[in-house]
Amino acid sequence: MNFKLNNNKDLILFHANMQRTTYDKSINILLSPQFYIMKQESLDIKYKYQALNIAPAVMDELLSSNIEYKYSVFKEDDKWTFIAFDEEKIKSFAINYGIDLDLINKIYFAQQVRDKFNVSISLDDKKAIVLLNGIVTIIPKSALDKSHVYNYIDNSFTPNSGGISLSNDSSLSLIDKKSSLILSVIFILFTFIFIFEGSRYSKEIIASQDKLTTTLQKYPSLSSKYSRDSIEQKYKKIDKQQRAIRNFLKKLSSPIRDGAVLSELTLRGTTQKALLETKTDTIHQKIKQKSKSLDLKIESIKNNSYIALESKI
Amino acid sequence: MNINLKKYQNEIILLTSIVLMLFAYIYKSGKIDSFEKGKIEVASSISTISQIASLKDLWGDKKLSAKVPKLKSLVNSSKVKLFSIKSKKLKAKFVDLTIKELTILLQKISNIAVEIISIDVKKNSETYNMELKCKW
Repeated sequence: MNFKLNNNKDLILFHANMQRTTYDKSINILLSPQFYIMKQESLDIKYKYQALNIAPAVMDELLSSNIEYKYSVFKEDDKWTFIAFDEEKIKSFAINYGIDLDLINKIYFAQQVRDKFNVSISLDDKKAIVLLNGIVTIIPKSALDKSHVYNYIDNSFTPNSGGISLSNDSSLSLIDKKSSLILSVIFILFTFIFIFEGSRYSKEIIASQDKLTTTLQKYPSLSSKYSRDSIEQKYKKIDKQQRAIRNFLKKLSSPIRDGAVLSELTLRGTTQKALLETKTDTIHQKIKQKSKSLDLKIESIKNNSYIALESKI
Repeated sequence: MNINLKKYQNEIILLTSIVLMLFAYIYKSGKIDSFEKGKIEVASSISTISQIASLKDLWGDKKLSAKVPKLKSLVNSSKVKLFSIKSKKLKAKFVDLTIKELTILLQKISNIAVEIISIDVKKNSETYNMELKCKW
């Protein structure tokens, strides 16, 4: 299937005596043989890029040495057609004829649509463009019958492929095409890397959520944060108070070992109190001294006969 | 392509790729932020759940209903004036306990994960009276 995307643009035949016209939209250009030098060769070459690489060597003897030519190649039947053209000449010609270079979309060569020239096209009063022995050529009209009927150029002359673009010297670009493409490829590469990393983190998020879900499945009553907070608050309060009671009982064992006698013990959730009887002043002082390291409130009462220990949450 | 845009096609290509890269970077950064936040939240939630579960297992031990009645048998029955269990609540009163019996009772109560509501111990000449209220 051939998509003639360039057919919707006007095709202009460039020739030396063309009329000056103003264009305000994008156009394609078909170059008459006046603008290119052509050579056909039967070469054992398979690919176009290979042919393009050898084009300067193939055409060398036909070209002027003080012009910097550009090349185009295409295959016709079993032969390679090599075309050399002077891009600067085409540009200055276009500018002289009032054509903005930015309006030029693609440039084609008349040889690319040689079959279209089976019926000759009139260029001006004196010249016509015709297909002669398979080569699109400009000839004097005098060589043709006076009654000869000429064809007209229209968009159907636009080749399906193989056009060239003018190099973008007149562009206002601050960066050339090659650099912009290289940088774009690098940025796109980073884009893919970032997307890849992002999606990897996305999977990690899902995995950690799954881990939480699995844990919650073990404890369905803790699935909501509200119930979790409520249960946590309840059990933490119990844990704190009960550990304080048990710690207080543990701390009591030390003064009792040192000779104090338990007289009273009151244990509640928030307050723990003990009253210890100390038989001698030595025991009293010893216990008082040791109890300082137990983080308890100590009070000597009844003339140093008793020590009151207290702990509060 | 519009003629004016064509003039700047290199910049447009470059700008588009930069914009795409920036969007991808924002996407990645967003995912990293979510991951870091999620990681902390999930770790905190799992830690909280484990902590609550262990607290629940400790203070809500289902075997306590079998363990608590054994407190009664730690001292001579004549010294147990009250030992009432109702709806997982114990009210007990022990009298004339020796210091050794009192110590055994207090150690045993400490070692089982009942929630002690109150313990009142008073020395009565050479023996002790103890009142205990707890639940589980």
